[in-house]
Amino acid sequence: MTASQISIAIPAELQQVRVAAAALRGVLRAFDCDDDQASLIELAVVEAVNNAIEHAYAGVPDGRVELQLEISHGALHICVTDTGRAMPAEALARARAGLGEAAGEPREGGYGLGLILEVMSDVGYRTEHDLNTLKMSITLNRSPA
Amino acid sequence: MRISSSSTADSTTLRLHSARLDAAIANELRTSLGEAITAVAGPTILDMSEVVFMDSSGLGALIGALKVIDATRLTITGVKPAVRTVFRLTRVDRAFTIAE
Repeated sequence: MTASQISIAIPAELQQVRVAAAALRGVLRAFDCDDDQASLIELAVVEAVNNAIEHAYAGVPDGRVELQLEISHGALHICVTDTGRAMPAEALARARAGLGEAAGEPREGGYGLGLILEVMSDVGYRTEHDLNTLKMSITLNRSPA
Repeated sequence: MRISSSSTADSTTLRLHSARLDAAIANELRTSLGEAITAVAGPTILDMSEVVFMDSSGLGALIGALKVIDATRLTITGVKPAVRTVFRLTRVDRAFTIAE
């Protein structure tokens, strides 16, 4: 079966993230992804898009965030791209190191990348020609027929 | 966002009337819930049964609003599986009483 490629683009506004999330859920339903896993994928994608809007585009007008979804051989590969400020190089490694920490009072922020790492596989980030790309993958669980 | 309050002789229940606790409403959630919860004395139940999705911004707002009270008088109820997963993955479930 040919790989399916779907793109979803939104203005970099937090109110628009729900639109991207609804579109993603529609795609996942079309591929019979089970509901529990669809919720996790939605969470990871929302976190990635929120990061792009709140950090990459902080104070930058007219940004856009694009999701590129590729479904191939039962796996979903996602790229979240923006043209804002690049994430600091150590951010992913710091989030990876912070997984499992739960000392003291719960903090009010800084969970986004950790959640992405918990939910998705092959998480990576790169910046090329002013385009920032967070990529992540997951093997899809099909819901029972 | 709307938060309703109801009381019995034993406790007060605050119900969140929103399907999504996300970045789009995080500031409003922090303010509204913070105001509602500081107005309550005694055992408090936070009913999240209408919430089907919560991201880390919603979670952060929830933590910010709830930290003003003694966590031992708070019980969170009606937590749907997708929301419970966020509490679990972030280990925030260790800081609050979340009813099964």
